Amino acid sequence: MLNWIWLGLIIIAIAVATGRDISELSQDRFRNGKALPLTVLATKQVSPDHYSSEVILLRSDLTTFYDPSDIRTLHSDTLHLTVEQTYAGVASFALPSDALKVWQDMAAAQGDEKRVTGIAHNSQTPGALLFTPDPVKFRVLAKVANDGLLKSADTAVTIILGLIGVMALWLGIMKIAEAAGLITLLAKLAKPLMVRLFPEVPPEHPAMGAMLSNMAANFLGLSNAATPLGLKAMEELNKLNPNAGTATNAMCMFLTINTSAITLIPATVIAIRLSLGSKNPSEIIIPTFIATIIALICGVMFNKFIQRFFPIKEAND
Amino acid sequence: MIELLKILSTLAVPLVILIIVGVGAFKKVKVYEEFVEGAKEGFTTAVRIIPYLVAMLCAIGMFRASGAMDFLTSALSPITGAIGIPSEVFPLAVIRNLSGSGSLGLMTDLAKTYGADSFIGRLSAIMMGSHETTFYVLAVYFGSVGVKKARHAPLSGIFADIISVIVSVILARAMFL
Repeated sequence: MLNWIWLGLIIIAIAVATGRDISELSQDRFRNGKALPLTVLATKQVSPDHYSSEVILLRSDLTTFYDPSDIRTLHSDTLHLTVEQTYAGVASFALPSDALKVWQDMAAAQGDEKRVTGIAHNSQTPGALLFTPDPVKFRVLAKVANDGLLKSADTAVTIILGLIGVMALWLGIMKIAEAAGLITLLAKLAKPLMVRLFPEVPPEHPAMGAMLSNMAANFLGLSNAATPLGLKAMEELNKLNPNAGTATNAMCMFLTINTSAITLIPATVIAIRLSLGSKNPSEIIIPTFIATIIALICGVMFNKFIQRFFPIKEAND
Repeated sequence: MIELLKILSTLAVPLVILIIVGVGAFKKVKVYEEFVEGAKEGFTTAVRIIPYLVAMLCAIGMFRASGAMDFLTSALSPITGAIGIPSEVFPLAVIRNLSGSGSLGLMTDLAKTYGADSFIGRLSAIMMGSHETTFYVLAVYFGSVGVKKARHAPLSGIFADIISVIVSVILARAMFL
């Protein structure tokens, strides 16, 4: 199953990116190699190799130059830009505040999200400057490779590094709770429910206590405690697993309960609503709670129902 | 109400730790030694997850960077329209399973654009509050014990997510529309 999901995400990503790139190239969305005519108002020399020109660009010039759908975000009739020219005509300008979408995409593809770079050369008409942006090709595929692949790989490790300290903290606390008999107490209290949810797990097994402490952490909104405790529970469940590498019924049930995300107080969401000036930020608590409870009950029943269709021996994906 | 909730969520962590360590000390547990013994596992467990998380986040990252979301939104618009999800909120219903920070950003953006107390703002808050990044949980939890054959877990996780989206929409329409 995970194989298919993984493959699906990657294939869809590459297919969509290729499709968008081909469509952009066939429509020549960025007008690669074509020059934009700019009207120069004033030029000053910043250093021997650096000229800074105030230029204006008329809306009518842009509408004939770019595709109409790319001009839609433009509100003003004239655009004022400052073109910085350095050696051999290499030039760039900072994106104006109501920048065209096509320029934003162009700038992002060229490497600096706030500047469009290109080549400037003087036109035969005095006071005019021709600006040819550097060509942009296969920008979506490049974005998929850079933002999608490389940055995500980096993010994964950053997340894990951030997790190490919290993991150590909560696993340490968990160990104290175990030694103090608190986990056993918790397990005893919830035994009638847990035995029904996890019939394969012996009622006195430490996995029960570990799963309960994870659920309690989730419920109280201690989200950074929930992951370490959940992983501890998985480790205990895996001790009961006769087929290493394949999920047991209990593991699948545990994950289903986890993904339905019952929380007493969705603190982050309330904080955001408060900061955005909501009159009653906490009004969403009750509907959120009901939604998660119903999702939990449906998820558990669905899980119980479909587990027979995924027998362990024939599970090959 | 807000004040009470704020206090409750601020006090949750210190209270839990106080109770556990307090009871431990009362029962004459060697709290420091037990803590260190438990904490030792933190590093190895975290490092063991890296390959699984890299694999999952890369696939999700590619999917998001490609802009496939827009295509999905328009392809599924007949279905989402039928159950009453505004097309602005639908990307959130998908992203919340894939990326925690991504969905938080999207939810903030929706609340900012349409107003925190608008129907869209409230619905996205309910969806965000009831979300769990299913794919992250799958990758990390199964990864930590080396499980590669997840059997029916992804399917029932996604099922629970779909149910929670549908219930969120029904409740939001009933309460706020």
